[in-house]
Amino acid sequence: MSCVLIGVGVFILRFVPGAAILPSFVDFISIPMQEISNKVVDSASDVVTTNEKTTEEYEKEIEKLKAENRRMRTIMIDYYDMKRENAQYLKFYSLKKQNKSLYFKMATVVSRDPNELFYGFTLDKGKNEGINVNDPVITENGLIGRVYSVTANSCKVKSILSPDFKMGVFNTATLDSGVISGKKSLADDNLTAMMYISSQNKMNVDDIVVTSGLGGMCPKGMAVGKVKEIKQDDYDSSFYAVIEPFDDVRNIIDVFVVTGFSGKGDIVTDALS
Amino acid sequence: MQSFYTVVRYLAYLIEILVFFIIEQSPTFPLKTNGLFPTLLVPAAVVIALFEGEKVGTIFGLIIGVILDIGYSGTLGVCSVLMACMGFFVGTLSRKVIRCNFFTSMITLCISTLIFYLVHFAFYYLLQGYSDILYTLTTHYLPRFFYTILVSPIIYFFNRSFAINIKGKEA
Repeated sequence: MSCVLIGVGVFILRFVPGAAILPSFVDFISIPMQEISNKVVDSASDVVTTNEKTTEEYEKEIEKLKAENRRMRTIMIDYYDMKRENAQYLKFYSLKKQNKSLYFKMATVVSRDPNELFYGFTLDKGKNEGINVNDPVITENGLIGRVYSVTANSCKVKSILSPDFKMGVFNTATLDSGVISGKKSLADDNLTAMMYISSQNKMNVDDIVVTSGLGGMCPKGMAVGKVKEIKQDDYDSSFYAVIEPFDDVRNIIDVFVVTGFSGKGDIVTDALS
Repeated sequence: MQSFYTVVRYLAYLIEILVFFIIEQSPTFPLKTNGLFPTLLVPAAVVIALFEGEKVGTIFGLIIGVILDIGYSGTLGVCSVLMACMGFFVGTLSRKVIRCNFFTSMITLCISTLIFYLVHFAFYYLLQGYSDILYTLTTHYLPRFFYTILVSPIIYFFNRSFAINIKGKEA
């Protein structure tokens, strides 16, 4: 019976015209379904990897990634340090280019004593780096202090805002001379005073004040600040100019200590102490 | 055993002094407002003297005074002598005169801090011949005095925990 049925079926498909559409009809239904099932299987195989790892392997991989992360973090820290050092070297180079006769060392402010009234600070370089007492301390913008105490690996700096910091200066525009000496009321606003200027002075606001180089303590022509105001002293009839340094001395971090310059003279340390 | 706890306690005080010194000297510490910062070491010296007595108070006062001098000018001077004397007097006071509790400790701290700032002002500003005396007193020393008193309770309870917890059983 089954053989008869098979034989009839083959005869119909082979010899009856129009019977060939039957396989096409079957394909019409089955092929889309096959396509869908193939897609589902492919998606499933993406999710479920055939190469399955054990818990220990995952733990090892996590440890490896953590170590990699730590290494990257160290590289990032080194990168920021190098970036900062590079910026300092750039300042060093531009300063050296402008002042070929200067010899200086880069230093960083490491501490500021809260009892220090005039914003003095301590640097991380000392005698071992060739720094001596009375060496000027500058930034790329100008003078900000001088060294008054040195140990092997650090030095203390008296800022330009201190009354103990005395330096001969002059006005580049009018050639009026004076002495830089700070006051507490001015120091809190990052200002200092140019004392003992003549009553016939021709100074104006925004004039630039530079060091005179007298005494051999500081190179001549080092920028100190600009004139903000000219006032009469409260206790005598002399005039003084309020000078604004080109840097915020109260918050400075990176500085240069001038260890040598042309014109550096013998300083009478007794007179300055 | 008692001496072991004593040594540990003194080591704890030394570490505390070192940490306070580093915090005070830090140029970028967040607690600094308008360039003002409390003096943490002076309350520390007073509280140590309050809890430990005159001998230990004198020694730690001297240590703190030397540190203050080194941090400020690098030369030993006023602060060393002042803090040693302060340690002695406060230690004697706590042993013989007053009963050490929060109220009496705060009063002692206020008076000691005021004396410290007045002496500092006299020696490091007045006698140096600087101008703007009243300005400095009102804008620098007085605010710092109040700022120091503000943080003193924290230092008091911190040291009290050392004195109470790092102490062996009394025989």
